[in-house]
Amino acid sequence: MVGPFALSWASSALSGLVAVVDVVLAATAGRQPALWYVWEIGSPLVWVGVGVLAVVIRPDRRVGLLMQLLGLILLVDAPAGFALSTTRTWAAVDLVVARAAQPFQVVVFAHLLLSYPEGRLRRPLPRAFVAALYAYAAVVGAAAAVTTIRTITGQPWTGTDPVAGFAGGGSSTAINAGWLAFAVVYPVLLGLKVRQASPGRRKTLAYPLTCGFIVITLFALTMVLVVVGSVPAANPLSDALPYLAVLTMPGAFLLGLLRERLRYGSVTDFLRAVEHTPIGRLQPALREALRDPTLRLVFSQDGRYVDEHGEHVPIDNDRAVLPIGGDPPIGLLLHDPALNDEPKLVRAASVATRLALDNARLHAVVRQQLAEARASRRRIVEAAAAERRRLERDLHDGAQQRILAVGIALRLLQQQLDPTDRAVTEALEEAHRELADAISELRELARGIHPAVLTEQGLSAAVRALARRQPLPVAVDDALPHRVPQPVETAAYFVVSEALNNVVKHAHATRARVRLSLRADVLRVEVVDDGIGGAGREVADGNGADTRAGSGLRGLADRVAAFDGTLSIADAAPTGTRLIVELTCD
Amino acid sequence: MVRVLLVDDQVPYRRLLARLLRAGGFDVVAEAGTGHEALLLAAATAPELVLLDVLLPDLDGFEVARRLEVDPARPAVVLVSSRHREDFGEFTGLALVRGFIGKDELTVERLTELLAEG
Repeated sequence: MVGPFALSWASSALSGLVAVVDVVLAATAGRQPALWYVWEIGSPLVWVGVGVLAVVIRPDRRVGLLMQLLGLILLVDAPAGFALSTTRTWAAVDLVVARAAQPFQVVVFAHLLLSYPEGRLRRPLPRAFVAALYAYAAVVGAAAAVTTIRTITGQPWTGTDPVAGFAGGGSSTAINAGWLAFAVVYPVLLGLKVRQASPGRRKTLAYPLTCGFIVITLFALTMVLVVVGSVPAANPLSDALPYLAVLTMPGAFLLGLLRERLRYGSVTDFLRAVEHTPIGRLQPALREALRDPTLRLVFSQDGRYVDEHGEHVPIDNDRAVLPIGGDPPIGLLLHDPALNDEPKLVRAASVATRLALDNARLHAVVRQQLAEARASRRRIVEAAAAERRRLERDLHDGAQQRILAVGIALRLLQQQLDPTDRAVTEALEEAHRELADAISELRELARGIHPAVLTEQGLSAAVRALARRQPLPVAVDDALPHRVPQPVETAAYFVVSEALNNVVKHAHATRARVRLSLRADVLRVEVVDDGIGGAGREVADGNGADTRAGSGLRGLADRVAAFDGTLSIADAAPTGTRLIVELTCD
Repeated sequence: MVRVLLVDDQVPYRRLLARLLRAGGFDVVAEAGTGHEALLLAAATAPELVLLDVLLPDLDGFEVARRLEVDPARPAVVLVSSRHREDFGEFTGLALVRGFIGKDELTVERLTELLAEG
């Protein structure tokens, strides 16, 4: 199958060749004013040029090739309108070809208009009509060729004058009556075409068909006048028709195609636009992209179709239905049937919508999974904190109470024994010291698990107590108007604890400061030291986990993330490290 | 002899402590395991001293001390806990409270000393 571009090239080359022959003929033998020839040869070239443009704009349509064919026919039959003085044989042959081709200019024009904008006739009636037109033109052309040959060979060849009528056939009433019959039927077919077109398609058709309708009507009117004999075959109106056609039609055809092309081009924009379009905005985006304000996007739900608000949408017969996605489709596009003439456009829109819907669905799934993951991480952290509190309480109520009870029992025992027995007294004192150490160690252990002060008095007091236990001076600024939820308190406390731990172990600092503040629902914890700094880089480099300070900070980051929090570590001025953690209290 | 109400939810510890106090010259008139029990027994026995554990299963020791203020006997209250003093906030507003003793340092001598201070 020869591609549209190859055909277009071939047709253009042939048109160029014929135009050269026309120019040579006009220059060497023409008796009319130069401007006449410029028009006769120039106007077909306009059709050729517009046809090439149309092929470029819509290579998938035949309409451009038809325009080029019209230009070629007009170039071939141009010598039929020439007044020539020549004895050259090739000029006589050219004249015969021109007269034979002349009837086809009306037919190709009619074909073009009736098949616009696809360039194909789909319905049987117009198809039969155009076929009949071509057959009639062939008959008229053959008759004209025979007549011309007879005229040329009947006397010595010295040149010719144009015969009347641009459709060919001269003054023959029979032939003109045939043209008239076609010219009467033709507007009916055009009217049918407009009636059957959808509103969207009518917009494309409006201008070219109005122009074409006027031209054809004028042609029919001329034919009526010629047939009834009130005007001669050569009259100003019939001479003006080709001018009118050339002045109005190519531009009209091209405009219509460009309009569609713009619609086609907007699919790219649409693809770009829908990439992050929420489902609620898809329908307006589709309407915009497809220039169809009546378009609806509906989704399958419980065996019926609903719009994005969940409202039931009935499927009308006068809407074209485009399924989106596989079988069964995830949605339908209800659109102007005229769009079906643009299968590529519609396919692209379907795919784009599918992508957008998939995108939106995946976004929703990911968001949901993220929310679930966050919630479960939060639950884990909260459960761990609750477990720590329970453990601390168990230690307090269990082991610690038993040791304390033993201490009391020892004191009771002490009262029963002889206070002068030094060995017994020393053993008891030793036992008391051991018990005190055990209680002290147990307390430290319990505090490490979950400090009682945090449970009893909240974050500020716990952080102050923590600060007092550090081996370097730690100032605490706290401006908490009230206690924050227990899991957040626990997380914040361990953030401060781990941060101070790092300061003591790695920062070589002489002092540190802890700031606690609550803004809206965000608890901000800031720990600053005056040490050597550099902790932020370790974390930022991703090497943090390998360093001694890093693993603790990683743990902090995980803990903070469970509360939708943020953790940032940077060098402080002039020296040291500033750690800022923000936790959401919801 | 000072009449003492002993409040602690740890029964073995409380029993031993009662024995220690009796041996030390105190008259332990009642023992309670919860805050509410303590309030009832305080009303019933009119003690002069309530040795009150801070952490109780129902009310905490501070709350019990606050409610004891309306008791006509107005006993002196000494708070005790196995936790550290600094684990708790200030309790200066409590009129009856004479002081705090950690359980690990609770001896008859310490208690007598504290009561003598007030």
